Amino acid sequence: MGAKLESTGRVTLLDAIETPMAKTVGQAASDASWRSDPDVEVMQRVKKGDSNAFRELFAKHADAVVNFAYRFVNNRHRAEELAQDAFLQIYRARARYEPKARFTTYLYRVATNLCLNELRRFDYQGRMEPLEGRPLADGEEGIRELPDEEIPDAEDRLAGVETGTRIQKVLDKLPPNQKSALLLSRVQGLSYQEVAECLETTESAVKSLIFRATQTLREELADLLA
Amino acid sequence: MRDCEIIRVELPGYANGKLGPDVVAPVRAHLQSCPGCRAELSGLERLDALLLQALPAITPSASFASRFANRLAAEAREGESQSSRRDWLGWLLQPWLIPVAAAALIAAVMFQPWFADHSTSVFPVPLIGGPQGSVASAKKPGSDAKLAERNSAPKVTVAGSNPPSEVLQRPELFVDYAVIRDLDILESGRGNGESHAG
Repeated sequence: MGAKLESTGRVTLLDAIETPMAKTVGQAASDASWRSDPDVEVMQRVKKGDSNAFRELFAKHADAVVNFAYRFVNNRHRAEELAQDAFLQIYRARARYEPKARFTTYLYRVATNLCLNELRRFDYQGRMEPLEGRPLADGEEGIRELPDEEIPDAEDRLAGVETGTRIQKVLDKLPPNQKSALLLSRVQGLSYQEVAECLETTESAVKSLIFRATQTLREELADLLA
Repeated sequence: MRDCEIIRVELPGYANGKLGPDVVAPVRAHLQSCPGCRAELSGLERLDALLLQALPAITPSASFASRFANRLAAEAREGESQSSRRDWLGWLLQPWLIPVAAAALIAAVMFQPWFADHSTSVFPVPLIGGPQGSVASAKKPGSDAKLAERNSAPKVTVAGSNPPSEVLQRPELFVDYAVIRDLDILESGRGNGESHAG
């Protein structure tokens, strides 16, 4: 492909990127990798009634799902409930489980749907919870617990908390599908193919969503990136 | 310029190593010759670093796992109770039970007239000798003796006789009325020398 690019220039560039032959790492890996995904095997045990296998999956992935949900709702307690809901849905549907993708893809698909439904039901904009310290009650403004001035890196910590709060606010302004794609890809580390499966869309659409999300973030956070 | 538009959509994936080699090669080649896209890539890499640094992972609360265990246990209990309900319904819908139920229904319809005729003789004594007295005992003193006589007598049926409106308005009297009617007919039948064996 590289040789073709050098010889024919821009036409080859378009062909190389837009041709169906051009697979992402995720797609190529996803096709083969779910068969060797150990979590799929564990989930098959859950399907056969092994409750210990389900505990194993919960212990392995619950924290990551809580963090994912937390980025959506900015509320630790609600994020935990959403994560539990996701696992409960999977438990309820265990008898109908048919492996078609990696377990994490399946898990985040369920979690994403729950988070998007939650966003549709409630307006979470501005309902911030500090990144450190106690959770906030509903409707309570985000009052941060200020770091101890005696601690040497207190200023850095304060700056870090403020930056985190600001980034979270920018993330909250993104359209839900852009936010989902960005978080799944950048924070949770899913491949484009897996993100596409989670959001029930195409890889091209995922690329576009992530591109627009990153453009917005770069514009809003330009001073931090300078 | 058109190349830059195409490449920049791919840059987030390039920065994260999420592109396949077929796409990476042309992107890399373009970056070598385009300072604008290289600057774009640099900005994306800083953004990635900022996102990962400024959005630290939270740790679920101490009760998170135990709360989920409780919900899961409740779910399992609910599942068991639903399963037992399904078992019970499944037993009801067993193939052999359906013809049996149908046969029972047909038998009930066929023998309904017989049941109607014998309905008063099934519980004659308690209904007549109730604690508050009855129409029979009020209107026919000494009817106990006649009742005993009736029980030993052949069954009398009368076609086309309707209870009076008072009885229809007070359903609790209906059974007593039927007894009275039988007794009356029995008496009158004896008087006339006519009786109908049931």
